[in-house]
Amino acid sequence: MSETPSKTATSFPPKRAFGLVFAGGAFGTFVRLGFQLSLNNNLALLWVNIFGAGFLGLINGLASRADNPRFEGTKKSRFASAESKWFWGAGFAGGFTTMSGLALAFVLMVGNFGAIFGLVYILVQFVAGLFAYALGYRIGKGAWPSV
Amino acid sequence: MFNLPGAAAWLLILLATVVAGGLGSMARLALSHWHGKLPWGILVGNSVASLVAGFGFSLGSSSSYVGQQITALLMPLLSLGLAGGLSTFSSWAAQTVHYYRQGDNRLGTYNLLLNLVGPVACVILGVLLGGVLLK
Repeated sequence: MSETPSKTATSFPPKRAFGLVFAGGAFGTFVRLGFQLSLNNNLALLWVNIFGAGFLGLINGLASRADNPRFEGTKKSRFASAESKWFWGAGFAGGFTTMSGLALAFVLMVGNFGAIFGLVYILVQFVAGLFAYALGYRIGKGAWPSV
Repeated sequence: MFNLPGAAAWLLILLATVVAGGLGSMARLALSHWHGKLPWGILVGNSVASLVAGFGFSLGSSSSYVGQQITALLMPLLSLGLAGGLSTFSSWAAQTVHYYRQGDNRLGTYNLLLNLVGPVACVILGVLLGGVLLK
């Protein structure tokens, strides 16, 4: 599935995945609209995409505990199930975050404020999103902070 | 819109936008199956969504009568709902981090740059398309 990258071919998602992704995606869209209606759109997209990437990292990290011997005997993470990954990963995180909104905001920003301003905005968001995902994953996995 | 009181019209648009977000997410799930050396399905989803978002935006700035009439419903439904649900930033981040962690720096950079260039080009195309169709 898309949220847990793999080089191997994946089987086509079953029917129930579509229902869960629809519900999660609608919920994610609803929460994103809350941000977009209450904040300046550029600022809203920045928070939405960074939070969303961090959230997906966190749940993917938590899900990875199921295969980690260090957590053997402890309660299995509820995020390890395929259903949870469909609803929270492909559904909620996917519907909450947006690349099209970011691309549109970038084009408008270049038009209004110039190319440099637009490029800084989109690159900051790209880099912050990657760090947010990696940080969320490490926290979820239990690798950081080490206790 | 549709002679409904303001709050009812607003709620209807909100509901339609949320449902469109769910439908866009389902389309993204189907596309995500297309995963070769790079997650092509997600790239195509992000690019098509950007085309839709650009087109939706041009509806909002249309001065034509038809454009203005359908803008109230279609603009949020297309740009915020359908395109927002179809595109994803989080999955792109997950896949790109995965490539870099695996040491596939080349693929990570390709995925990063393609998801910058593709969607941005498609937004511009969508705006131009909307401008031509609603002239």
